[in-house]
Amino acid sequence: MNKTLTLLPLTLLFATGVAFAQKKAAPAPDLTKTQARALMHNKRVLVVLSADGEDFAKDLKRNRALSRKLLYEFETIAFTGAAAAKKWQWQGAGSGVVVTDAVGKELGRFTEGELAGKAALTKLEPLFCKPVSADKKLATAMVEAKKSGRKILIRFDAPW
Amino acid sequence: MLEEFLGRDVVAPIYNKGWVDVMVDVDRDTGGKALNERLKGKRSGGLPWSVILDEGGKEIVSSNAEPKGGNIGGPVSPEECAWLVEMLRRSSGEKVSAGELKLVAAALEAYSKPRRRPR
Repeated sequence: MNKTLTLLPLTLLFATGVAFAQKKAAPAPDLTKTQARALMHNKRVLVVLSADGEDFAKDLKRNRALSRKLLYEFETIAFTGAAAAKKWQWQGAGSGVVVTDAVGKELGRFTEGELAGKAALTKLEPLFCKPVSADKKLATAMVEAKKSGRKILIRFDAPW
Repeated sequence: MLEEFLGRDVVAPIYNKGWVDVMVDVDRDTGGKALNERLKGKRSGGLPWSVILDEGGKEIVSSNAEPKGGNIGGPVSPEECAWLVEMLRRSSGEKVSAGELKLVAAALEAYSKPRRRPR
């Protein structure tokens, strides 16, 4: 099962997260693809680290102050148990999150306790990406198209 | 859905050969909604909406399928998929061959078929 997320609503993340946690030999989440999507959509990467037997992603979804913002501002990827500890040097006993930019630079890490209730938004909001100009995106694409002799395909969408 | 399809291993090398990909989020990108309205004009359909421009910014074709003009959005039905392939065909120039477009069309059919509701 591919555990990485695309433009799927968080509901799908959480739905698949349960199944993921139940499988012992699940393939590693594809961080590269998650980062590529974050770069494309001007988002951060939210790495959700769940301790064994927990599903922290599910808990985050239940946090109403945070769930919509998570969908808008982050590409999300989940690691569980030993994989979380090894890949992310997660020393804490419980669950938590690591926030990175689209090229993997760590911007912050928080334990489950630090992200309880409304505090979650207070902690994560300063890490959101700054908005980018749509006109600037188009101008950049036109330069690129002229250089390479390609056409431009613009897709308009929204995260909801 | 379209993004996921265009990023697939079989499709991405062909797509990237012929087109510069731009994703505009109308909620989060500054001026995204205005750009969408400017390029779309009075044509019908919501989001997702897409348009192919030449290097000078002139429209070649949009996701409003001819002749009726409905927006194909994220294409799933055979008609919607056919229009996406037509969009690519009309704008492919010399960069992408007819054979490569056939590959994309076959990949789109394989990708979309399981997502279709029974008629």
